[in-house]
Amino acid sequence: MSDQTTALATTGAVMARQQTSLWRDAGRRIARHGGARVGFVLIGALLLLALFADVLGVADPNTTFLTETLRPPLAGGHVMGTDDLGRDVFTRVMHGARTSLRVGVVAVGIAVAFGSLIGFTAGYFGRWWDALAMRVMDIVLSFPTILLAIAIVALRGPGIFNTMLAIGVVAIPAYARITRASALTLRGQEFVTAARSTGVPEGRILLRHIVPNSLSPLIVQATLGIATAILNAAALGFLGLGAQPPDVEWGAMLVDSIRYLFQGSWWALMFPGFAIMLTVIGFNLIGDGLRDSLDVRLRA
Amino acid sequence: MGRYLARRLLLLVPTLLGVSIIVFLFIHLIPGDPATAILRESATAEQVAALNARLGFDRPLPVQYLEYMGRILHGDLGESFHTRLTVVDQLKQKLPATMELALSAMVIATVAGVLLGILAAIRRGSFLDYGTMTVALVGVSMPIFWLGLMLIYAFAVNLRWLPPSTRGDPPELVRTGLYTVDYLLGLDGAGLLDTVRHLALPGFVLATVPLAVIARQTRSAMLEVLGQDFVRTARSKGLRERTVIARHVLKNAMLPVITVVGLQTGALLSGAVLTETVFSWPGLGTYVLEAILARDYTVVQSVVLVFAFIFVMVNLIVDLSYAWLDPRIKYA
Repeated sequence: MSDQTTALATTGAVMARQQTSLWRDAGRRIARHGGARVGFVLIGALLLLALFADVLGVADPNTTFLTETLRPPLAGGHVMGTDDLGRDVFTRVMHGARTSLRVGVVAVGIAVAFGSLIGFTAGYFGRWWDALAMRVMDIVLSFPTILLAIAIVALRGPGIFNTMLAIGVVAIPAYARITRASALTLRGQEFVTAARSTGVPEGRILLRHIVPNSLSPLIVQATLGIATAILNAAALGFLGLGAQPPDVEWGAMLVDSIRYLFQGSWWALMFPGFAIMLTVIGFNLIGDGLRDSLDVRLRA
Repeated sequence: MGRYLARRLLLLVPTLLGVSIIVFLFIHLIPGDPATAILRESATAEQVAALNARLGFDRPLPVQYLEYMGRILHGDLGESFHTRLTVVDQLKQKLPATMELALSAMVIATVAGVLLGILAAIRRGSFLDYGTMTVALVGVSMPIFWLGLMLIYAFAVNLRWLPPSTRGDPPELVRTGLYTVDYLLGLDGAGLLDTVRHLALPGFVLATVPLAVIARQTRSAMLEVLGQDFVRTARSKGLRERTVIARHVLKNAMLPVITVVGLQTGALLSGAVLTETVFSWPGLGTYVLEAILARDYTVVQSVVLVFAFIFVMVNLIVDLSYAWLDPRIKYA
């Protein structure tokens, strides 16, 4: 009896405390996370540059100033100098930010959509579908990432859309595995059994109980995935298989810069590379911060 | 262990079959007709038909697949459409080049990564710790081809200390195809030095990502072990800190590090494609890229297959060594 009273009192005390949700707690933790703060600043700055590229730079990133080729930084009003065709490097870096962000987000979107569809259903329903889906994922994982992406682009032709597609496809297994693992763990838990025993349809259990409870690792992986996607997109651009002119892309800018690197113009090599690096660092820091504040353990 | 090994080898069969089917279908996934793609649009209908007959594209797909597998199992990987050189002969030249590059990178990454990770963990919270972890973050966030270009600019173009590209001159007698080994066997010091100078930049560039990952993993594994009771016991019985680290901590912290080293070896193949391109390194990466740009699809097919095979094998060895090293892992 007295045990019950104590229990009731404790429950009362707990109830009286202001309720906080998992997400609000996580939000508070990440706001105090040093690394994540740096990441948010970096990505925030990048978003601003991408948004205001037309205002801050020359109107068109492909405008050539033929009398001002290979100007070093700060010469003649070109903050980051000009390339061998007299194009303003700063303007091109800002427009490249648009491309990279778009590629990163869309590629990860493709990977998350297909990967989690495969993973959740495989983990929850199991049986032959699980065996088949995971075998296929193993096969996709048997190819080195960049090589598979190159092969896909080689098949479909270079360009920004095929870059997003290729990078998205090679990332699918990572998301399939994470969501499958979550679904497998949650499937056997009591609240799921309870839902099933009260007659909740399977599809509804999956959508209302399994998916929301597996979001944390998915969010962390997706954030880190944007970083990887941007690096892979730059690699494809560098190999000449990514975005094609007039689309401006950082990797393609780097390969262009080789042509005149030996004439001593380091700036066209330096700045797009820094842009890639800072963007990737930004997403990696935010991803690490999310992992810490959502308390997720991921196998790298 | 024996049963585990058998199970893993058995699981390899469907995976490799799946890989071979995907690689086989690759040429048929090209939009339009594969022969037209190889010959480009200017080819006449007769030329296309002749090539289709020669390459067997006019037969049913399952028949083509069985023939393809038959050839591969007999060690025939086809020939280049343009140069008429057989893929097997080319592989004999290019595979050692990639292996030499990848092995050097792995040695650099493992030695430097483990050392840095240990130092960072021992001096946790120090300037050295923050410095190492910042460098590690930059290392995984940097496009390696960009790093390669900057190093070429600094050390080859400006300072002229190191050569900007290629492997250097081959030894007179090529035994293993690994130039460092061949020069060593031939007792040719000058040749060895030249080879090492050519290896330095690409080896370091390819090592960056695994180095960073290994350093981070070593640090966190060390920190986890350092916090355990048996370490406190070892210290409290008066062991010197050096002995505690070497005998008790390192031994227990190395397992996750070995896993990461293995996983990175697989990832190294992706990096090799990019590194080889930057340094005109005559390995598998440049070979497959040239073939893609020349639409030499048989070469692409075969090299991708070889890459996937190596990748699968490396991952298998990693899993097996992990199970062998940690008796706690169940082989079920």
